[in-house]
Amino acid sequence: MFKFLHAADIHLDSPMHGLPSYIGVPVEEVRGATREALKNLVKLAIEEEVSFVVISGDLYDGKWEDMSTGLFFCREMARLGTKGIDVFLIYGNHDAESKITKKLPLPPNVRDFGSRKAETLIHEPTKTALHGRSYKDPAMFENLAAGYPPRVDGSFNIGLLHTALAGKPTNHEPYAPCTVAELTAREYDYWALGHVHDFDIISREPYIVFSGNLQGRSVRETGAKGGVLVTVDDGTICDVQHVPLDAVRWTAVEVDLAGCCSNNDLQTATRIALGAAIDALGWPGPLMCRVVMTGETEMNDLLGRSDLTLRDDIRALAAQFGDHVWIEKIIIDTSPVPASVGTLASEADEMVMLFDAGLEDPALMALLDSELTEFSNRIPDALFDNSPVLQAIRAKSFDKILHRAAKALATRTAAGTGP
Amino acid sequence: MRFSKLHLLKCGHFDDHEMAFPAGGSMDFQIVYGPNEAGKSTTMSAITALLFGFTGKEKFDFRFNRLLMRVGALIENGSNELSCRRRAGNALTDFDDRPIDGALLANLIGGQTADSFNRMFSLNHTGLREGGQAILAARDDVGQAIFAAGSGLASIATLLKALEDQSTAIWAPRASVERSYYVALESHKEAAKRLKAAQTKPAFWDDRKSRVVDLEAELITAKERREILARRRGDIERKRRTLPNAVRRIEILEGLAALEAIPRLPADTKSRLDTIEKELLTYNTELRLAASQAADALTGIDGIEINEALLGRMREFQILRERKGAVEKGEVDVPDLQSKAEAGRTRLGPLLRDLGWAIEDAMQVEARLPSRIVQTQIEDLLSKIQLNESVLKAARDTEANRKNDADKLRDEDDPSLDEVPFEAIKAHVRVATEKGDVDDAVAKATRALRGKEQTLETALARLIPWTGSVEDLDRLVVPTADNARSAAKAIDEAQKAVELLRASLAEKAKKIREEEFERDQLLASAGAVTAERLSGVRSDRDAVWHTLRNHMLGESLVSHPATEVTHYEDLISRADAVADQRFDGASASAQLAVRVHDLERLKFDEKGQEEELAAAGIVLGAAEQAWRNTLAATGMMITAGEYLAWLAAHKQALDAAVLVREAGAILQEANVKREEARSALVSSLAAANIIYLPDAPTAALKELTDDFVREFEGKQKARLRKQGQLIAADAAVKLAKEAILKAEQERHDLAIEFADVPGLLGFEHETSAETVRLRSKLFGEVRSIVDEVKGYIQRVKDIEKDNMAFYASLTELARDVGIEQISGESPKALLVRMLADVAEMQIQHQARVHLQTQYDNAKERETAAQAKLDATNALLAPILRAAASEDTEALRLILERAQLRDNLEADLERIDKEIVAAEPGKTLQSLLFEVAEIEMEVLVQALGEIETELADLEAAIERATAQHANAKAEFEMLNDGPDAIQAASDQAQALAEMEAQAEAYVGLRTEVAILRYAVERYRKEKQGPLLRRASELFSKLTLGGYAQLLVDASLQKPRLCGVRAGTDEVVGIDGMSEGTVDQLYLALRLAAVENIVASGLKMPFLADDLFINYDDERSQAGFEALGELARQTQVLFFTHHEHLLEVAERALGPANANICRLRSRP
Repeated sequence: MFKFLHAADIHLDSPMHGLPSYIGVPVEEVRGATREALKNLVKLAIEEEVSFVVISGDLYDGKWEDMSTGLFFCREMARLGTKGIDVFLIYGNHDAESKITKKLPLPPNVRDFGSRKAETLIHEPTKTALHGRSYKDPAMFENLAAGYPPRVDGSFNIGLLHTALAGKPTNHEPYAPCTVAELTAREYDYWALGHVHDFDIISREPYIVFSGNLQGRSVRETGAKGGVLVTVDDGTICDVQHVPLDAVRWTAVEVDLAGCCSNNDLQTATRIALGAAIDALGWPGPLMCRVVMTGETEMNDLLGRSDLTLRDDIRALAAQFGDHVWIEKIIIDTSPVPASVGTLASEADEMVMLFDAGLEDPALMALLDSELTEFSNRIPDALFDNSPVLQAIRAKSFDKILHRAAKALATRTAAGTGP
Repeated sequence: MRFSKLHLLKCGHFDDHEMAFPAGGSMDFQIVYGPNEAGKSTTMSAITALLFGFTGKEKFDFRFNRLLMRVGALIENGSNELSCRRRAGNALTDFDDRPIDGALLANLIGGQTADSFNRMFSLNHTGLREGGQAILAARDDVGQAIFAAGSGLASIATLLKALEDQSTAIWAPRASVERSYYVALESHKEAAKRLKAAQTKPAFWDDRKSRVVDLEAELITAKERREILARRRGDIERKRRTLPNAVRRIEILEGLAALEAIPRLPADTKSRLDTIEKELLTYNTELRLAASQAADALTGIDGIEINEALLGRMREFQILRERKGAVEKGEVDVPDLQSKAEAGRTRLGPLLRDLGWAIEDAMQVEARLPSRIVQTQIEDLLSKIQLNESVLKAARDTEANRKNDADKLRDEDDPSLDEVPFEAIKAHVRVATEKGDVDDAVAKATRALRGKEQTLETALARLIPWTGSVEDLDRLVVPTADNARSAAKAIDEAQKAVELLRASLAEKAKKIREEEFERDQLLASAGAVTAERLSGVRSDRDAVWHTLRNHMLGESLVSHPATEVTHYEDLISRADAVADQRFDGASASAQLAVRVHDLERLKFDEKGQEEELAAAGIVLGAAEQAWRNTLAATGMMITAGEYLAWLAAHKQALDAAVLVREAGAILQEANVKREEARSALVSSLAAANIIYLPDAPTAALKELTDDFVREFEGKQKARLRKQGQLIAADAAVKLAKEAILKAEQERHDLAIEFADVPGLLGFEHETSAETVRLRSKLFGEVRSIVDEVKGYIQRVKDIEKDNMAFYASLTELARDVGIEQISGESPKALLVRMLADVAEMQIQHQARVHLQTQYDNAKERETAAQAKLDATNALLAPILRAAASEDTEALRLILERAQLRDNLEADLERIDKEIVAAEPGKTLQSLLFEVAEIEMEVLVQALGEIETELADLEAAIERATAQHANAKAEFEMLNDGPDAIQAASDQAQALAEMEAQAEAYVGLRTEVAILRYAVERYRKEKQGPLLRRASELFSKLTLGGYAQLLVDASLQKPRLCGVRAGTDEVVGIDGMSEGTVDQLYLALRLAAVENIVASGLKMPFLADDLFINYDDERSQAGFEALGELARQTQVLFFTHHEHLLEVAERALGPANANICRLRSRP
């Protein structure tokens, strides 16, 4: 019997995205999360006394050019070497782009697969045949699996492949496309896949597994991240277990504000939703939460007010759950309560009618466009990547923004207290 | 709409206060006058609360409970009236507190909210002042000024500025550390900079690595050269060291050749020779010493003489010496014993005299004493007699004491206790105890019943409007919930249909008013003439013509033909003019015709819908009537919805009634138990003859009985205890009597036994036991002394016998060993002399034994020394033979030469080793060969050259090492630290913060844009008519000081101005006094309200002391301006200035100023 560990998409030293700085955020943990996750991987491999580790591509971010990242990777791999644990890796699309990969000498216990053609390496102590091929170019649209060698009889066979498997809905580039049928046809015992950042067992006969990435780096990568611990007994897989290794965790919490009428209601609903999410995760480490407010609520108009008070309030509320819960961002996706006497009444207010009257008026759109053009031109492109609001400004699609602002304005004037 | 009456039932300090606002006259102007704190503010707030509901913030409940608050009004709307009342909880009812549909009021309000109503239709002095300030704040922004006045949002400028300030605090084109976006941007830049500095680019890393490798290679080459030179230097130095050894080696070999003839003896020869010589010396010395010691011992032995006979009787001497002490002690003890015997005899004398015996010999005395057995028996008998006397006395005492105790216990016994029926009492108490705490149970049951009754009462109260008793409730037959739901559904559907039709009709009415307005405009402005009008004037003309024609034809004469003709001509002209006007304004007339047609169609539709509304009303009425019929049996008039709530309350009331009955039953049961318990307790107390208060609580009665039972039981126990004691005392008396009898019998027996005793003791007549006891005691003492004297005499005899035997043995022994007793010598002196001789003889004997031992030892050592000497000489002989020496001296010379040869051979070996050690791996011969032909000078010179080259090489290596170390350190600085990722992480965080700030900025700017847009649109749409009307009002309010308002568009930014009357001077807002700006705001505001009212939303306008800073003249102007509004809608003017009443009457005319007076607060 032996064990091996399957990991992929380490993206070492890739920074966390979307988390604004605010007092108290555990800066060191956030900065060093990917490194800590790699350390956790090594620790697990040593504790579980695995025979070897397979890494299915994307060790680094492609454009990241700091050799210290590679050196750190080598140091951790060397730690495995001191315990007699070999590492087999293929390079993925990011690694093919990376200059670190080209310059960095690997420790003797690390064996990488070539990119010219698929090849087979043997791990003698366990008589395991590992088949793999690295990416030569960052954009690899060739079906690599088709060229993988036949299984080695009498050995346990593992295929390492960095691929966007056909039929798997992902937001990843469709590199090295192939099908489950093609992989199955190779008659390997285990396919260690990389590229898709979510853990997924695609098939159990044979095992075709995406390990997911080691560490979530934005709210798009929520939930537990880690590696896959595989136990093989007499040439047969008897256990496949996903082991969380991440140091910082991300989650998106939906807060349904239906029925909420006051800030107190909102606070209560948020506290309950956050509490439930935190309990469900059972994660004691740093937790980055995106809060998405939804539901039909009378607070819809109030929530449109463009200030950062709500953000501060929710951050303070999160702090009540301990010093490990942090708010990444608050998204307001609420809608108004359907027509009621109250709504009809407010619409009868001439002033509110005036605010609403402009929403379809091109003149107001033009006015807003001129208001925001300079700002839009002067802020960096990177800001537009993750912000639907800013993307709407660039696309001159003001409808949603105007509606929300009009409601907010009506709330301000009704309150009579100004902003 | 207008208020016809306002009814403040329980509101503020008002208690059922009604205000009437009568209609009539050309305007609807109501002045509510009251001194300070009369309730003007309360009234204004109450109006808002009535229309829109209580917010909970009103201070209405300082006198009456909040739940009692009611505000009502009779509201007129055209020909319709609505009586409604708002109560706490915001339910809307009619004047009889029956719920009414909120939509009835909502229709009148026209969709206004409390906010918009207060903003638009309510104005107080503060609002007036703020409005003025708002216009000032807008200064050069006409739109904002108009908007502030027209919308009532006085804080428009403040709001706009605040939004702009907020957005500017985030971002503005000019970067600033005060702006949060730029703060984040700076963080981003700073992180980017750090990232650049922290990153180790792969090419750079590779370059540094190559440099380290190159320098390392260079260093290795230099070190290899140094290694070669070092080896060469070592080679030369070895040769230099070998050369002197080679020379010395030759010398040694020559020396060894000279010693070749010396025999090679074993290596230990010298040491063996040394040992042998040393041993020979030792053994000779021992031999001589032993012979001398043997001779000395023999001489000593010969000089000692021994008495053998004496030595043979040593044991007997020892025994005599041991007995000597006892003999000497006996000789001392004899006189002492003899004196003690004498003393005994002396003590015996008085005792014998007491006995009357004249006997001196102790033995004789003893013979006269009774035997020891007899005396013992007599003493035993005397003891028994004494014991019998004690027993008899004790038994008699006991009998007397216990008899006394028994008599006392009999006296103390209380037989009356047997007469109390205690068991019956206890049975009653048990009955009462089993009932428990009956008073408490009754109290609890009573409280429970009260609680349930209160609940029932509350539940019954909730059934209002239904009223009745519980029995009525039980009998009441109520419709089911399903019935109510069906009815509610039918009524609701009918109501919705009515509401829809009403809304549609209101819309129609609005359109009709618009059409009529447009029609009137066409009629007034564009010269349009309707066909009806033309037809009308022509009809007028034709009518007059017919009159004239009849006159001319003589059919009917007119009284003033000329006047009639002139009139006819006027009518012809007017008809022609109208015809011409219609012709000239054909286009407008056509439009007018269309308008009129549309108007007719609208009215037709309106009529149709009114009919539908009437039909729907009938349906609604039928549904409501059906429900009323369903509900008739209950006698209530409530809606089906309310009935469902009532039904729930009905069920609660029924449940409560059941609970009341149950509680009543429990109470009754508790009362029965209590009576039973009391009855039992009363019986107990009567039986026990205890007095009690008949109305005392049950617990008190119980306590009395419990105390009695406890006390009685105590008495019973004490009596039983004493009865037991009495039985025990009687038994003791009986036993004592028996003991007395027994002791008396025994005394008798002892007396018989005692009768012979005096005779035995020598008494001749009967004697008392006491006398017998005394004589017996005297006999005892005499016997004791006689025994003592006899003992002393016997011991003297024994001592004298032993001493005689000792001296006989002594004399016999002296004779046996040949010691003569000297004449006159005592046996003791003889013994001493004999013992001294024995001691001397023992010493001599031991000395002779010791010398004999010494002699034997010396002879043994002598023999041994001789044997060793012979053996050692045998060892020396072969050594001398081997060295061919005759003696040890010659042998020692040969040994010295052999030592010299050994030393030379050792030197040779050492030198050879040194030579070989200098270059391991090479043979001695080859090394000797290498230096065979070499000169020392040549070696020294070569060594010098190598040293020089090595010194240069060391310097070079040192330099290369330093360079390599530096390069390596530099390379190692490029470690795997996290600096770059930290910077990148900070950069990402800063970017996220920028994003958040940017989104906030976009939101705020969008709000700003919308607000500006709204202001601008309002200005465009409203400015013209609003300014025209405001201009008139402003002129009026400033008493003609300003002729009009205008917008000065000649400036880059148009501004609102006033034109002074007479001078035509244009004055900007900033040039007006504060009071004038207030008047300007009031003018604009009234114009806006007129505009809204004209559009159909006729809400009452509330004005609260607007003229407090006005003089009477301006106040009058103000009233006139408000009066114009009052022609269109109701104006409620609140004031506490009495003089304004007169001013108002002057301005409006006495008929138009209805004054409603509020009483001063009591």
